Amino acid sequence: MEAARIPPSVRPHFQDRLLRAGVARVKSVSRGGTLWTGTEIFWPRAGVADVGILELPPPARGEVLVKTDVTAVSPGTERALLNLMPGTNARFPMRPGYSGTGTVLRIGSGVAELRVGDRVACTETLHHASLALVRASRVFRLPVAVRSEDAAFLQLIIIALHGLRRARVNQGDRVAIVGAGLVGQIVLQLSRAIEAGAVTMIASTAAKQDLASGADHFIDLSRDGAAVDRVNADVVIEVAGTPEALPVAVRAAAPQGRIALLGSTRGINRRVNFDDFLRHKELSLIGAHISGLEDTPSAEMSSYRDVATEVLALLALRRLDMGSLVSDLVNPLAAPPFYRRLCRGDRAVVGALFDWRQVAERERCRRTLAVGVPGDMLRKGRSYDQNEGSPSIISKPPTWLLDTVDSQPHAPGALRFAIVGCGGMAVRHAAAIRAAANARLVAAMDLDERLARDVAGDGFATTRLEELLARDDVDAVLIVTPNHLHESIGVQAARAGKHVIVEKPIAHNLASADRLIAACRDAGVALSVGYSFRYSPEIRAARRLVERGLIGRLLSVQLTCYFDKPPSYFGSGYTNRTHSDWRASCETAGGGVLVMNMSHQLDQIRYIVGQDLTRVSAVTGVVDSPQGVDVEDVVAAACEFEGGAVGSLFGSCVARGIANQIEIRILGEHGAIVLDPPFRFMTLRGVAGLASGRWYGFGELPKMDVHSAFIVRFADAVLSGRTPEVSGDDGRAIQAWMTAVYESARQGRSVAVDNPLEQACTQALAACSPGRSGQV
Amino acid sequence: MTETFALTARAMDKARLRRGERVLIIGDGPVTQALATATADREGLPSVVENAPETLVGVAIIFVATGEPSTIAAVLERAPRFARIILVTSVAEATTDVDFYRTVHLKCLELVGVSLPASA
Repeated sequence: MEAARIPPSVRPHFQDRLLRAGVARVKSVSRGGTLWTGTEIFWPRAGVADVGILELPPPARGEVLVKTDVTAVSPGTERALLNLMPGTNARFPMRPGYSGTGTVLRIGSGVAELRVGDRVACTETLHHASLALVRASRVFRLPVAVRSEDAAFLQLIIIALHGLRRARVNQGDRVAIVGAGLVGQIVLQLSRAIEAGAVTMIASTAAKQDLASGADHFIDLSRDGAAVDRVNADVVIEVAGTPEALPVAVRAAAPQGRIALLGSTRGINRRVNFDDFLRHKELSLIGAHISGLEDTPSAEMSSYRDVATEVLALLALRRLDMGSLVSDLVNPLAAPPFYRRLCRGDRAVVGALFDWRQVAERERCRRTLAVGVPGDMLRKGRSYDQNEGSPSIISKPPTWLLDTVDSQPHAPGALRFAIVGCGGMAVRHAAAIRAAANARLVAAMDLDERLARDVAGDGFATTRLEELLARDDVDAVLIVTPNHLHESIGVQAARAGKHVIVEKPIAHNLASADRLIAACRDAGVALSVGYSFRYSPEIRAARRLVERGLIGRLLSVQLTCYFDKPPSYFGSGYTNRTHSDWRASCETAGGGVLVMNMSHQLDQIRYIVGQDLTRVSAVTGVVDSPQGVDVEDVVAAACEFEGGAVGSLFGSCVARGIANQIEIRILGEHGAIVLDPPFRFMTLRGVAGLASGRWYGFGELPKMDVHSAFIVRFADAVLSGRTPEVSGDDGRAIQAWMTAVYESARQGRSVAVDNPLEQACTQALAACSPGRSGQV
Repeated sequence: MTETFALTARAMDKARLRRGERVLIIGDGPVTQALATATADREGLPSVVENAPETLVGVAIIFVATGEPSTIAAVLERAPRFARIILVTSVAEATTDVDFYRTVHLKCLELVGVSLPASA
């Protein structure tokens, strides 16, 4: 066996960890010898988040050791720091987080007011970690009526209330808030709680208007910038965090008005004329950084503890509703993909919480002895197995890695399905619906009545779609027709109030997919796409490995697919059940081997790595298909992922003698996953039950009906009002990947992948570019 | 002269002076003199008039009575935490670049504009 060593000097963040481990041990020895071990989120360098092991000594004098429940993310601030935006001075490696809730575990000497077991909210040194050592003056016992999730935002609410106080807001004052992010929403609620007068919220887009329902007026600068001049607010609170927000705040202020600078504007305001800016209207510009809130009250200002107590009282009285602001409750182990989303500028993230209760107790909070060496670090330095051919078989895989899909429905009742299109795949879907405990097959439709009868069984069979959609006993329609018909049938079904599943791909092109998604959204019905193969146990295990950071940063992905289609495929598919040549034409199928076969693997890859493609460079060919076939039978594409990883996609359906062989390889900074049978993986990370650097496999995995699992999960989501796990947007994303492949092949150059989030981000950046700041 | 006194009165009003606070007045025009007199008039209120102070440590209130905007930017850079800065005279068309984040926000300054109703 060949082996390799990673030199300590290039081992990522090794020195930092070593130093911290050493300091924790030294401190621990003088405080009784125990060491507390937990899990923390850290940023090794700009743009990258990771999960690691945290070691803390017992609390010193005046300190409290807290076991955290939830920690609050401040999206604007953390995005700015992690992206190293201008004006930030983040030092990496960095440990983010500054507010959360938990339970007191140990108390240092000199702390009288707290008891072990108290539910508390903490600020300042409570990072995104399962354990924290916090100064007692920043630990506040929670009143019984206050929920942990609400109080986790304590620091942000204190900041907001401090801003309102600095601006000397009085009852009845007209308030304008520039910026509609998390702090802006909190300021809005606080303005209500302290009975300010009319409140106007001013934002660069209408995206957060729904959240701001408590405001009397909402101004969308992109639509009605002139409205700012009519606001005439006694007090303006700036929480936008860009230099462009200041001129807006000035325009919104009434003469003699006060403007509180609460957001971190991070940047230079160019060509400021102080006469226009402040003097003519006699405005006051008031800096409201939280450092201004002293520990001891002065004549003009209250102390930090006073404000914190006031905030907790407001929470106890339910005068603030933090629940409506939480868009994401994140498992801390999934922090890397979460931060990737945040970094890319996903504006859907308003308030987010890391939920440390989801972390296994062993990794969340454990007592060890200071004399022990940090085992994970020793393992990291050990040699690793470079030969992936003969993995060790794990006889009892840990449950977090190889859980079976939850195929037991939770919501009561059963969803009643109708199948439209009764060819070969319909037979499989009918069997899957019949096997699912929370689904019934009540009807089927096909232009060929014989086929419809065959699939419907005892149920209703028809040749007319209207007849099927008019039935009250049909809740959901499963569309198994040629790809170009997905949209028209799906739209009709949605308008009839039926939930929709389309067989993969979502449509035969991207525009058609968008129309189908819009129709389902407008009709308020669920939409899902038949990417059922993501439910196979090895795919889920691979996702778990990536999610837990066990392969580290994604470096590359390789997909190779071999199919050997018989010539009859283009006339009657694999099963010969129906006869139609739709598979032979781009007009009807939308493509060849990529769309018809590889799209399943594309969804699996996207599901595992949690990233979209950004650029593709591809070549397609029709090299050995029968006369009249105009869809590709071979495709090769080089592609780039969001996180910078490079991938290759190859597929052929004229691979003579190599039928249905699929290989997926996912390579990361700290490990690798190989998905062609037998499934195997290797990680350099220290994790319970697995040796670092050794290749593992599962041996024979239990057989699993992925189609049935898909139906069960879809029905359960619909019955309990959730979005299906495989959403219309997932289907669209894969369609966008494939569209980029075809476009690249057609144009003979690399093309960008259409990504709604990317577009929104580009637009947002363009909107705040200096060139347009004059309008803002 | 009426204008000078009116402006001084408004500036004093906005400054919310408290007993014992150190005052700095920057400028050399009639308004500067009027402000110096006004602050000195108050019983028990020590005032400092300096045109080129070496240090601003301990200064609570800074009246800026100069039409040079770069002076204002320099004052913002050097002002101690929590200082109140009162902009008394016009800068006319002159402009300057300002980092409000590092100065006003982080140091919790208060920057107040004062003008006469006629010029508003």
